[in-house]
Amino acid sequence: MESYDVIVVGLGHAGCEAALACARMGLSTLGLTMRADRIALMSCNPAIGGTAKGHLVRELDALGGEMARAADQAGTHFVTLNGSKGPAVRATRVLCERDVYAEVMQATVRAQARLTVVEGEASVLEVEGARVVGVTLQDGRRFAARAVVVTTGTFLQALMHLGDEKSVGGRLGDAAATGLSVSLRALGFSLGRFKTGTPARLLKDSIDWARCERQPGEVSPRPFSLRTPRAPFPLRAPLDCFVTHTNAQTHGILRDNLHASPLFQGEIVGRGPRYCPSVEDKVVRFAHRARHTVFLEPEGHQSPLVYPAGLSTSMPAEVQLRFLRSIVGLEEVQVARYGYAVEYDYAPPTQLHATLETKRVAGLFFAGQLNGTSGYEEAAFQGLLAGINAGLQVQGAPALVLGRDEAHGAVLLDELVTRGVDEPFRMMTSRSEHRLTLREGNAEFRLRAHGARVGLVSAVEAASSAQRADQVRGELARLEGARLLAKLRRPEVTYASLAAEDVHRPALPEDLCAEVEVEAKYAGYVKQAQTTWTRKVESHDAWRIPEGFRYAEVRGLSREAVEKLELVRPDTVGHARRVQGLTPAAMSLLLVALRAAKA
Amino acid sequence: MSTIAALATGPSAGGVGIIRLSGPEALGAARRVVRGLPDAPVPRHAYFTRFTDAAGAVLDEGLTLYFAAPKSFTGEAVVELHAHGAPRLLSMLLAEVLRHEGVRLATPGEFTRRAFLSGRVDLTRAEAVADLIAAESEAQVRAAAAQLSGELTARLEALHAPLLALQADVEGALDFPEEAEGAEADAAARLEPLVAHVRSLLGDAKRGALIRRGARVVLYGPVNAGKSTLFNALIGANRALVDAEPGTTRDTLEARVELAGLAVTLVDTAGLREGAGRLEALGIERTKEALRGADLAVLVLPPEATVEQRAAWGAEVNAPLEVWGKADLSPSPCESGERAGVRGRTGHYGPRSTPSPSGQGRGTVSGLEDQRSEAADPRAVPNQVELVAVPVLADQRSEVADARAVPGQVDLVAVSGRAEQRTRGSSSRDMQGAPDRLAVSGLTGAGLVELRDELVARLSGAGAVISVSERHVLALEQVEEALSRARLAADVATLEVVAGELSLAVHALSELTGADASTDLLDAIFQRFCIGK
Repeated sequence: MESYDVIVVGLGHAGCEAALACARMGLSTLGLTMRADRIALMSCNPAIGGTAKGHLVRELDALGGEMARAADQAGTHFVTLNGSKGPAVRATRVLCERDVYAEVMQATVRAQARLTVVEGEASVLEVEGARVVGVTLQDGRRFAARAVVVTTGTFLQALMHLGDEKSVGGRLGDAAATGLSVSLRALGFSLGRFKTGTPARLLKDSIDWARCERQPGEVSPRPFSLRTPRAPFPLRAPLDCFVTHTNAQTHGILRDNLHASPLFQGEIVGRGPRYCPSVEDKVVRFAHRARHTVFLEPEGHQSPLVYPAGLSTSMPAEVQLRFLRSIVGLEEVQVARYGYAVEYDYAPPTQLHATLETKRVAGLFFAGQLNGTSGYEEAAFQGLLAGINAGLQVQGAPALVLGRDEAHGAVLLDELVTRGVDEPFRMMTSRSEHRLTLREGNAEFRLRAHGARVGLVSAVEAASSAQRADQVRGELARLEGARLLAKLRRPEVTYASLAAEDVHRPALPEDLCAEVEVEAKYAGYVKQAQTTWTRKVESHDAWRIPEGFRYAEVRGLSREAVEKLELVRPDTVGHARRVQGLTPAAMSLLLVALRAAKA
Repeated sequence: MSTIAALATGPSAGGVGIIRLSGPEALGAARRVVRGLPDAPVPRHAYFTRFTDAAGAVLDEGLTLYFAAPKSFTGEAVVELHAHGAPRLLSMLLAEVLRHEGVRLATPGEFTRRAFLSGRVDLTRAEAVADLIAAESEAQVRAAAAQLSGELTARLEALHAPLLALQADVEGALDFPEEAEGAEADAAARLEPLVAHVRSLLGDAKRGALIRRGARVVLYGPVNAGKSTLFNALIGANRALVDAEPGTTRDTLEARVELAGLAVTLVDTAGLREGAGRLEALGIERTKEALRGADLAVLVLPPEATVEQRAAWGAEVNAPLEVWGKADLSPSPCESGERAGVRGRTGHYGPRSTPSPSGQGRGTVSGLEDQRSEAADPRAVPNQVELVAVPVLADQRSEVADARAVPGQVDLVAVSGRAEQRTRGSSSRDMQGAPDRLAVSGLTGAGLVELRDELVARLSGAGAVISVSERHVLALEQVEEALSRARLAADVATLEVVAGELSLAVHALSELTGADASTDLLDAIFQRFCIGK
């Protein structure tokens, strides 16, 4: 039997990061995929980034992940969102050429030393004494491993809906994975059911572009990755996006055909994300809205396809065509593939430790959409952290668990394992209480040292970031010494406008000037927020809760609280404190019981 | 774990005064003042003992009880000394006990916290017992008996709903810039009423907290203004030594009275007068210290007070209640205000840089003043000796109070039956034609009714009174501060800064409402915006 250090099941956005991380950490790694030609496929919209998601990508990049670099290679349309709302919520979004993105990532995977890719469907997780030891494929092949990372996306027990037609599969043209669901249940994991959807793909040449509003990207964007050279950039010729809108006629067609929608007929039982509703859902829930925005995103220079963002649907094909053609610019549109909804099994992430290792089976890690998340970026960040922690475990090194004040990605993981999910989970900056300090611009200062510690960032790269951080600190100190810091904090003063009276100013790169300005202007607010939030962090937060702790025996604890704690089984008191719906009183009782158990 | 000690009974003189010690050194420390206790006392047995000073002189006789760990209220070794309730005696005994190595004064509520952390009482019981004992006066009993009032819930919701809507709009604009475009446009204007609302709520809550813990009213003013006579008249007893000679009162004196259901600790300070010297300066410090701890300061002026004197005294504290003493001597003090200026309703008295009043009073603060933290009431838990005296989180923010966040169980009530609003100083005006001014005589009782009403009106304030714990006042203060900062940030900073302050406000408010702030926010965002691609 072939044997590896780590097996990664599934090579989507989470799986690629996990597999690359393990191989780069020096471990022999096997990547299992049902189809090698579909590795790193963007199944839905062809964009990387956006609010909070852009932050995740920059953080992943600083830790030594791959997604940012691939997006830079494939990007044709770069925008910065929230330009005027503050430096912390400013976010990058890149529209990519769908095929190019997959090709770039596939090439990286193929070229990676110690990483072997095998086509096949993982069917059974082999477990001995509560520790994973390998994977058996559908066709009977067996591989041994010391750790397994499962990143199966939407493929577990996947069922696609197009009108009243149902077909088994995780994505159009792909099969579903059924064996693995059975295996997971047999191991005692509970599984839930979620739903997601995708819009039709339109033929570029059938759209009347003159009737749509042009939205060009930025002319000289900053690359997503620290590893992408600043010039020449962008690497690919730009492509413009276009905007159009639904109208009363569109809404009428949708309303008249709700009976044909599997969503409204109760055919789909899985819960879908509120932030990504189907267009029929929007028309019902926001009946007062006269129109909804549609973004027409070209899928690439060579691709004949256009992705109409905002029109996710599972209506029958005939209804889809009619409502599409009611939209300005799409009057004669031709559809290459119709939209559909997909239902799939997810594993409630409260079954995971903060490292993304399962509590039930040692050495087994879950990442990506399997954990109930949504979005390429959320998946990739989890994949990277699961891969890193699987690798560290095999190496016998301490795990990497980031603090909520270090990264949005840490907030993502903490929310997942602590609070669980009741709809597909999307990252938002508002989930992070330390938002003001978790900026795209300082991701390298926050995280590159961690990347270097685990072996994914080179010493040279880490030193470069450390030196840049020093430059920012040094400049702030110099400004203070020159009695200019207080002046810079005034609302109407900028770092640039201060230059005239600041003759000894060193020459700093533009992005570091921006960092200096933010650090100076936000110091007061950041301190205020930190004081408040750290006051909420209790001194007992570091207390470990013993495995198998019996919550039911905690005196005075309500049954509801017991149930919640039994479900989540938090690792620490701080972790328990963030469990949804636990009152401070319940926490006090828990503290009392833990103190008693210690004594 | 250190050993703690404190008075377990209230600060005013009563029949029995209890000193409680808890911790490993409890017995050893108690032996410094207890005579007649066996080497190995039987737990839960009441011994008749003598209480002595350090030199061994017998000061009093009373009961000593010993509870062995863990079968005690706190789960630690506990000793209780039941002496006579004379404040001076108790302070001497406590001071001696505190001299023992490893013994310190308990912080407010610390006994209950230890009891709670050792699993001896559950939170609900700790709270219920504490509340019952704290309910020293009629109004408190009513407040403690009632459950969450509909009025307070409504007022919190009236703050919470628009605050959450604003937060959702602002966060929506940050996280979903395309779908929620422009939702944050009028954030500054929407913050104004929220700030006003929370300030009004905070004012009512602070008055409610006064009812819960009782108010401190401090009489101060120049020497020989008639403070002590007034003090005695208000408490209905001859506690303060009264003499026509200036500067008779040398110590600060305290007494508990009940005014229209409100528990009030009345404090009489040494009169102060002009005159240099270190001792006078010391006297000023004592009075100032008393004023710092006051919920309401009453400036008692002699009939012959000048405009300058009045301004100088008035500047000492924020908005004192001003009364003219010795109304018996001078039926119409300061006719038409030519000697002293006419007071504005907001209580500004002119320039702050006024000469410091001084005098010959050199009072010493009576020893028990600072140890009012723990009080007991044997009615609380009958038939259980070890629980007889349960400490209370009576006056201050305590750690236990912090642990008491039981959402939805905040026992708050709009207190009815408080004194009706009355026109301030109306009778004075009628009688003497001097507007907005109270003339009283402790000797004849003239103006006393009006003064009592005025005290109640000032302490209870206008509008509703909501009874909340100090912890909840703290939470409301945090809401107020965060909203004020958000309002400022809306003018001078970025939207993400406004959002950060709103988030702090919402989280502080959720400590009152028990709401799950982050879930609420997501729900509100998705209800308000059609988000998605």
